[in-house]
Amino acid sequence: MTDAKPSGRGSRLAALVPGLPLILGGRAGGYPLLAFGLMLVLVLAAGFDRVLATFSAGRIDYWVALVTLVSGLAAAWGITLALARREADDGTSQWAIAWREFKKNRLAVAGLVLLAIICLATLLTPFLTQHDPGAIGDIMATRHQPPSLAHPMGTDRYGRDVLTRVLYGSRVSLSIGFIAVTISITLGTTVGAVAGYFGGIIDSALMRFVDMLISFPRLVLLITVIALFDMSITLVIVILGLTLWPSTARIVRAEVLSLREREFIEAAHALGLGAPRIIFRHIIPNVMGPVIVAATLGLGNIILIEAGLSFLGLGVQPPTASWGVIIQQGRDVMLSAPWVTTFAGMAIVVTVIALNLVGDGLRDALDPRLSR
Amino acid sequence: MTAYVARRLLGAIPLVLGILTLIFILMQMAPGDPTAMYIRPGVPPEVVQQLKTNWGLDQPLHVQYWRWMKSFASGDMGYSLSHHRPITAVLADRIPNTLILSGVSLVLIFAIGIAVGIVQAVRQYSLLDNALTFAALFIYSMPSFWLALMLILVFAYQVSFISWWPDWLTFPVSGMTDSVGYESLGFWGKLGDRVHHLVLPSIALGVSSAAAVARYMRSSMLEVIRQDYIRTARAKGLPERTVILKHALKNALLPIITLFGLYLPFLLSGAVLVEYVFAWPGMGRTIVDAISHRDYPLVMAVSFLFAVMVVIGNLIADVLYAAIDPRIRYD
Repeated sequence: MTDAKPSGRGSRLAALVPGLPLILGGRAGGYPLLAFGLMLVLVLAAGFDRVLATFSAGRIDYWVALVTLVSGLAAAWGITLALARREADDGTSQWAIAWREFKKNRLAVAGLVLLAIICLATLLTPFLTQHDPGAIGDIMATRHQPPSLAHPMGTDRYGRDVLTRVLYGSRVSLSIGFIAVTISITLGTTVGAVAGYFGGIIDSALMRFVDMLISFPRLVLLITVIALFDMSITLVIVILGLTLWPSTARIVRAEVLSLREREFIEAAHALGLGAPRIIFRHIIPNVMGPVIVAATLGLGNIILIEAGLSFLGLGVQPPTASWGVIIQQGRDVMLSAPWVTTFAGMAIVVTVIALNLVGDGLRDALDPRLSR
Repeated sequence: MTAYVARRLLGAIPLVLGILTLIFILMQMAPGDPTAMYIRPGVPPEVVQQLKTNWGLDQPLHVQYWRWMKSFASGDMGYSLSHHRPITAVLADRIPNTLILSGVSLVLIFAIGIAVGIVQAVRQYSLLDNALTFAALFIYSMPSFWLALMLILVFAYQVSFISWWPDWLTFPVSGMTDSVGYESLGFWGKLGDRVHHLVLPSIALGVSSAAAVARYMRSSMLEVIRQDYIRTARAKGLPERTVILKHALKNALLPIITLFGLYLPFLLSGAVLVEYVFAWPGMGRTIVDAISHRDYPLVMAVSFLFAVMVVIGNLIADVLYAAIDPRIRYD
């Protein structure tokens, strides 16, 4: 415990600004975070009309930009909170224990490093490659070139650099994955917590609905809905998020059923707290462990499903590059230019492996039944 | 036991009705209606109106809903707009093909998964165990359709350049049978041809789930072989082979049975993509084609049948589990 630990409402407000609690705590590390956060907020504010247009225009690059900005902001905020908490923590909190357990798992740490590299490569794509993902040059001269120094992954049938397209595709695929996971985790946690907390008829009704949705093979439900409505990228993202929440809801409900019998919830009842407050302040923070695991593994699943949808021509539409689109386009020329499909698929495999490693590591670290 | 099965069956009925209702609601929420494809220059509005009346689209919602439920309950799924045949007739051709493919994959999934899991558990932390764990992770993270493409690339195309590579290990890339000469084959020739066509699709479809089953099997087996009764079996001098394969395996298999219900939706999702890649004339291929032809009644019917297959699969898994594990009470 440090004596600089701020307290009261002021510190809670300060915690909302990236870096500020650290500065108040007298640590210089807060300034770059504050600057970074402010920069992102300014960018968001300056382009606010475009932020709004994202939802109506359905342009994939708007979505990518929005996700990058918001997740950058969230990262700055998260690092601040983690550092500030470390200041106040004596190493016995759930997260500190989980982190220590996680660090012992070499494979999981390798997965985390891999994931960090992938995210960085995604952010820095324009600096990593000089090619334009959509530029079609002199087709006869440049198409179907095998991997070489100039084109490490070769070129496709329009002479476009495959490495560039895979990198830009990672932006699209990961952004879609992040948004869909956010939607499905938020919805699933809320529904699961509500069902588990109230029980009775609410529980039965919600869980029967969940049973129904789980009965559809995911891809089938997705392509049915996409076929019925007019295709747009916004629709694909939202539908991906909406079809993946039921499994989270099941996990959360099971956790809540045991949580709600515990003494601290009884104490909350005795204090006269209302149901929303108990659910959001006392129950949900305690199910975050399984939820984070579900989110990590779910992101891998969503990336696979999005690739499948785009492969069928029902997801991201060419000429935009997403991993599924690149594989689909490479399929037509697989015999003369197998590298297109091969490398795009490898990108998916590596990303999903990283996510699975991190997810498994988190599960082992967060599951109290396994530790000690 | 009979009562338990009957009760589970009764419990599945509201689920199926719910699924039907969900599809009906989806259809109502969707913009436009089935007559949209007839609205074009040259078709007078009266004709479209007449179509609406004929198809009952001008009826109030609850009447439409009731008719929709009634027709599905009586096995009438409507008329396919792209095949110009009743949907039941279209699907009667397609369902067996999907069942063959997923059935063979299921056998592969559990045979490979269980065998690998046992080997890993028996040799825990050995080089082999680590190698298999890593391989499983790799395979598990693969999109099935990409694996399918890679299999085609290697085992249908690139091996044809190797002069000593045997013909029977060069696999066909599409369809269920050879388009030329299939009819002239004898019974064994036909069977061989079909098996030959099944190899790549069923591997592409099954191998990732097999990796997942191996993972569960490994941990389940590890849990069992630490128990007292296994120590007893070893203490009384049984050979290790008997201890593992007779005593431990039975108990270790129990949690694996529930995976059957769990992985069925994944398997069928994968089937859509794998059938698309291999031009396999099954339900997955049908729904993808139906979407490109805007044949909505067929899309609805296929997705309904997919859901019903999952419900039935779960039912089978539950009943199997109860039948095999005497510790489960079914009342």
